[in-house]
Amino acid sequence: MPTTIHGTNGITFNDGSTQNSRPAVGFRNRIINGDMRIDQRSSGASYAVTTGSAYGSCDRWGSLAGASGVWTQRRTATTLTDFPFAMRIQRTAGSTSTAACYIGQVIETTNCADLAGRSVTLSFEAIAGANFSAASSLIYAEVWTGTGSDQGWGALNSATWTGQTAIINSAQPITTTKTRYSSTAVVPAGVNEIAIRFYAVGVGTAGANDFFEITGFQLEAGSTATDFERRPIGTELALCQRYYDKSYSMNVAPGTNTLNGMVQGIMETYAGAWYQGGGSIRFTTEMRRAPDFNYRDYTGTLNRFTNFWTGSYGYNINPTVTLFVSTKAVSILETAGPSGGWSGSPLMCHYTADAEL
Amino acid sequence: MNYKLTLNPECVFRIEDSTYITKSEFNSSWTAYEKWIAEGNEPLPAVEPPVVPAPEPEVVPVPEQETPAP
Repeated sequence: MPTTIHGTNGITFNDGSTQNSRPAVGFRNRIINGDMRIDQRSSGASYAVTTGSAYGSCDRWGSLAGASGVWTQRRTATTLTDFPFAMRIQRTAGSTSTAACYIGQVIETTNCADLAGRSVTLSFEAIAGANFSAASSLIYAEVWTGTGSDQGWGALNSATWTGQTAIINSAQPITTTKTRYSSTAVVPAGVNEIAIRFYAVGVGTAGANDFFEITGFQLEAGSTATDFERRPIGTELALCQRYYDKSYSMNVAPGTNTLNGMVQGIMETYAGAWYQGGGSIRFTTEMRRAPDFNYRDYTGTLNRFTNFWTGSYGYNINPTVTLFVSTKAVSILETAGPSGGWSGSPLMCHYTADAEL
Repeated sequence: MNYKLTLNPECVFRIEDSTYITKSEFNSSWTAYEKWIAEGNEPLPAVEPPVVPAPEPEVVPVPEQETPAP
């Protein structure tokens, strides 16, 4: 089919797609980490999905299950050159639970409010495992809208967004051949928040390969699904770090036993009988809100520091601290010294900072 | 779930996962904490810093003045 330029109906390209208005060129994909390359929390390890709305696997992707102990999610390496990573959503072998498993992404209000009153197109790639048990091999794709601001993943799942409405609710049969699917809808006027959500429901007794893999998510303005937008890894990681930051290297899971990349939390001094200490840690990029924050010593123990002194190091150092957290940094005030006492030592730590929706 | 106050009223410590939770209407962790309080629960108190005693004032004796001769 040749490319056709219509007088009043846009352009029909030689793949059969029609574009009625000028497409956005750069940063048209409103989904962050749509190709599942970044998994700062788990670095590809399996995450057990629970009945609480949470974030445990690939960056920016929330999870939820109808029952705990039934489903896992993890970033998995594919053999594909176009999408080398996907999210594998797997029902545990032997399970007979028919609880559903969800993943989804809530788009920050400031990044989607402009879509109100416009057409949007959702596209994604999916493939079924050999034992995918869902009835008719269906997965469900949804696009939700609301008129509030940044009400988040938990509120979405409890259906408490202000004016919560599904504008796409599509039952999509999938196969063991990777395929790209798309749906288009109009975002109502007045919408101020948007999320995409997917789920599946297992049937019978789960086999060893009762899973589906999903990747290549794109939500864009317009009535046509365009090619997945490829962003440089540094750009994509920076987008993720607005919502989750850590001291560990990108592919090192928090809690790993490592000295590499620890930051100085406190410079400890000792004056007479009184400990005096404090410090600050600056986040990699400015975060969406003042994040929830925790720190660990190098062994991975939470709420502990590692001390450096005279060419050596320790762990399990436990001063009492008060934190003052902004979107850019955390200031740490020591209010009581550690047991055992370590005067004059820098107290180092790993940290995670979570500002997800 | 249990919490412990800190000296910063805009930050509480969630004991379950050793995480400091920051006050924000856009933080579901903080709204969960407020709901927990509204249900009648009480967080553990903050650890107060030790009271550093003020140094003893140095007393400098006033020198006796000689009484001038009449």
